[in-house]
Amino acid sequence: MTRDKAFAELKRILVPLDASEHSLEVLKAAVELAAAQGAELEGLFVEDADLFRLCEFPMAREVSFWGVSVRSMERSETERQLRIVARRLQRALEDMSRGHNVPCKFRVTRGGVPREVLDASKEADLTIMGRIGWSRLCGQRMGSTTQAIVRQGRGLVLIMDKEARFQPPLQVLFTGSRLSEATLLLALELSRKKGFSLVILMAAHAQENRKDMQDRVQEIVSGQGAQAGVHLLRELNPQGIRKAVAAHGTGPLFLPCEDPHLHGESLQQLINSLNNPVFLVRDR
Amino acid sequence: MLPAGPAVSGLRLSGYFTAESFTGVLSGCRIPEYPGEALIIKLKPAADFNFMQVLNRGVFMDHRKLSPAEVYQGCDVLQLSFETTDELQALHDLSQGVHQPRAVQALKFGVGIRQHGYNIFALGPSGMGKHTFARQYLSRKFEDYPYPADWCYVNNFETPGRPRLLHLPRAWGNSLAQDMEKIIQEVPNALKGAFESEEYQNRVQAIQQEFKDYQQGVFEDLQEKARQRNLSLLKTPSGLSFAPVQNGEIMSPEEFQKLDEDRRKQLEKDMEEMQKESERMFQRFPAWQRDMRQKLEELNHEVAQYALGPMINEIREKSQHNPDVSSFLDAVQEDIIKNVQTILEGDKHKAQEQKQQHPTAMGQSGGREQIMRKYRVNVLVDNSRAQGAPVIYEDNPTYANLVGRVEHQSMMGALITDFNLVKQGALHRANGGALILDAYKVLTNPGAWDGLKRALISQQIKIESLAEMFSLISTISLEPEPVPMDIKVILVGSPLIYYLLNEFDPEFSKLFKVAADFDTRMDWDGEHQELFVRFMAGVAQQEKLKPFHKTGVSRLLEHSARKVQDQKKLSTHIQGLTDLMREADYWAGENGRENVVEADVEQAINASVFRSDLMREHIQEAIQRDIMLIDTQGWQTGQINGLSVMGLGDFMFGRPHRITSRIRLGKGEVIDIEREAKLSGPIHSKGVLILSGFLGARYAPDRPLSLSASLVFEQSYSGIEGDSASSAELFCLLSAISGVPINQALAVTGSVNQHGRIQAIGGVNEKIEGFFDICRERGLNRRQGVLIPESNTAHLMLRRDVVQAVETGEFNIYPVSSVDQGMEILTGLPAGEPDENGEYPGDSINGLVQKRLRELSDKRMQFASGREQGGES
Repeated sequence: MTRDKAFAELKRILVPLDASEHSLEVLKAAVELAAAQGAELEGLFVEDADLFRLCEFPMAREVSFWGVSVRSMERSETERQLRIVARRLQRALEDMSRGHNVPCKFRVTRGGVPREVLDASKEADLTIMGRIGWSRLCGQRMGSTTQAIVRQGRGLVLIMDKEARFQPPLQVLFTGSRLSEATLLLALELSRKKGFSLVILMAAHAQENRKDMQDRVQEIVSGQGAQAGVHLLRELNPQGIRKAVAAHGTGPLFLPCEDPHLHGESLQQLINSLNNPVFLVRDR
Repeated sequence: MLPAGPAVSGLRLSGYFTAESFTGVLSGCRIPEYPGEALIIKLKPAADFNFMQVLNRGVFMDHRKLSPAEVYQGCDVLQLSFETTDELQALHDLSQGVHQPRAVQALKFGVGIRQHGYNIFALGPSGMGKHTFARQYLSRKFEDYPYPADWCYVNNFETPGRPRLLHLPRAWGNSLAQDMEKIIQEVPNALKGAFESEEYQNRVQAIQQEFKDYQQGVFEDLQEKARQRNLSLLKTPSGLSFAPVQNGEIMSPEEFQKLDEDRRKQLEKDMEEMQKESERMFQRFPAWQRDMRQKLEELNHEVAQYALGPMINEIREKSQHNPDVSSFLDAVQEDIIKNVQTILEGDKHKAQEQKQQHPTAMGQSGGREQIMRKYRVNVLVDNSRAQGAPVIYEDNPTYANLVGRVEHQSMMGALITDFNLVKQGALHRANGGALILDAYKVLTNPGAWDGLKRALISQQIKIESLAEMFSLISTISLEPEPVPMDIKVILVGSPLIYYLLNEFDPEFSKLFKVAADFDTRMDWDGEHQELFVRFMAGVAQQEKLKPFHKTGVSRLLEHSARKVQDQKKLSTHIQGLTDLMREADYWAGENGRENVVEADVEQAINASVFRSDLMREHIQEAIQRDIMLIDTQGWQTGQINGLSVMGLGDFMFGRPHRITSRIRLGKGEVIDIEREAKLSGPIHSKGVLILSGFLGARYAPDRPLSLSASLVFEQSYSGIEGDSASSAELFCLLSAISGVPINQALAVTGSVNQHGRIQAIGGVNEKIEGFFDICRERGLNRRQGVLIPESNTAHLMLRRDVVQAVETGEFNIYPVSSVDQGMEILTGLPAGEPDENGEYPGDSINGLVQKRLRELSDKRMQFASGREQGGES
């Protein structure tokens, strides 16, 4: 068995940035991961087209958090401020990347933020998203852009919390599918590079499948010259997965998103219920 | 036919003449008016008396010569009650061994009086041991004074640029510093334990969550209200805004315009209301944040107090609740509490520094140690080992060494400092006691004198750099709290410096009111001799010299008297004495002796002279080879041997000079060729001008002095100063005027006043020895000698060989007190006494001078009269 070509190498990692504290924390983790993988890091800042649309309203006003002042919104001023934010983010990206010898580039686009990020993620081998940015202020568990990526995104996506850290063990869901085998291989490689232990959450619904899946897992793991623990899942649904993950701590979780339970709303709920960094592995 | 009675007791007839040579008293005798003046009896020569024959034979009358006992005051070895100095109770204290009554009284007074400005200037020539004297005296005096306090600098937590001063009882400084070091070591661990505890973390999170919940609640509320009004909350780069929404999307302006007017107005109103609502809500943020910070601070304070309290209180108890220490400890505790996070992260900083390979500031440790530096105690002055009040001598009194300095350390190209780098100066060390300084060094070190005066005036030691003092730079630096000062400063220097400062520095006399004048000599009597000899024993012990035998001690005493040129005094020049004792010890070793005896001291003196007398030897050689013309026999008119003394460093020697005089008709002026050639100093010129006064008053009171006389020091090519040759010049002038020759076997020294009195001069021993050396080289003939002022007799401490020659009569020393006496000795003729008309006997020196001056006066009048007649014709 060889890994899916799409996940063979992580050469290009995309990090959408919005200057929130959360976003910068995620950038830090992204730089470390890019350094471990030898990948190039691409920072993306999207100038929200809604803001420019709002500027066209004569009654549009901006309320400052700390200055307690209300200003009318001018397009030129908004553009200027967004450029300042973009420069700051670019500098942060370059400084952090330089510290880890990671090649990087920075891009600014304008449009709807979720759309722009979705488009950009198609070109990347991995997209790393903060679970939540400014939306956190409004009590949301997941930001609108991340929601869009979770629901509509393709390829490899990593969702991280601000406080989340890469720490052992890695956990990977194995369903026996081709995609889950590719996910297992990806997790094995990362565990080798990081020196982390690996726990395989094996979803064997029927007794008769279990032996075959165990053999297959054994074959893949030993084929990579690695070792891994196995955790048998009673049922393949968000609750079952959450329970199993909670038993092994807050290390990164690799999810092959092909099962109907791991799509759309239920996938979002599962991610919201976990504090772990989550790798979403999907076909392109 | 000699008059009987005491008036003639000093008169002796020369061996060359007999009473039969004279027929009787010519004009009576002149009774001496003052001690030492010669008794002159004018005898009438016999009919066959041949005046020139007398001159060729020698002196006419035999004047008083000094005896060997008068030219040298020996020390009676038999009176010394010891064999060697080992037997004596040695004195190491100079102030006890050397009698300096003025200095002792001044020091006692200066130290005793506590008022401001009574500092002491110890003045005297160098080598007197003034430093040692003052130090030893003060050390003894200050033994019983109260122990001075310790002074420390600690961080000023409110204004770090102005370190705080702690005034602590003696020996507390180091103890407090050690206790604070312990705190520095223990606090991080204690804090770590407290602040990393689960209880603390839970309480912090609870406080932070409270604020987050509030913040989140505000935004949720705003968002909900906006949603109800079909508005969307948008995040802008520096705040938020509200936009109208249609079908879940932000409405475009075109879509907005398509709405009916009421709807548009409603949306505009809603947007405005939401903005105001946001504004109102956000206004509460700062207060909430403050509230959260305060709660966190209170929590930190509580936890830190719990961790620190016992340690701080332990020190507080130990310092007996000293208010200064308590206040400092309070500040430390408060600051630690404020900086808990920084202290706990100290190790992290250190790790980062090491990773980035940055040099660390303030030492190499960096990290936490760097942070904890501010809790240290910089013990500026530690008096824990003091014995009484301090007596400090600063041998390098630079500005910084006096008032202290603030050092800097390099950190990444910048110079930084803190209170730990404040360094003490001599004023700090001497505070509460005395500071001895060399005046010359203080004055020649830039800024030191001004710094010292400023401290004495303000009674405070304020540390600031020289550049700051002169306002050359104005950078941000430390301004340590000034130290209150209570010091007696003893400046040690030469009289010249003292008088210059007195004259030109108006502040000097206000600050140094006490002058301790060190005498260069002391009385040579039994009491002082005993103490001085014990002090010599002390020097021998201290310098690890061989014991001095009493003969050696005796020679040292005699040499000491010679150094001050006084038979009744001893030199207090301690450096000279110590040097001679060391050198005598060396020669004793060379001679294989266990003790230093007279011969060793003599050898040391001679060797010392030999090392210095090359110039003298060259001059004497030039005289012997008649390159420099000096006669030591025969008679010459208008020529005399004057004596001068030359100083080469410590070494002085005498040498004869030929002084000559020529006269001619003139307007009564005595021309000093040395002065005309600008080779003489003012005192010498003054001496020559006195001669005119003497001549005019004595010989031509009622007619113009009508001669022009010139005087010169032959073969003198350098400057001449002093009036010690003025008597010789007068004798020479009188010889030239009278035509009476002067005995060249004699040399003369002494100054003269307008009344013809011979006055004392300096360097009499060297002058006599200088002429003696020349005579000895050419052969002593019993007629040679020197005329000295009688008042210099007490100053004679002549060399052994000269004393010996005097004893055997081979060399003579005549004490003279008047010009007449001198002229008689020099010419062999009577000086002559004036009669009631002021007329001197024609055959006396004075008569011959008077006669010659009258002739010149007459000629001048004739000359003037001739010119007038010639003019008329």
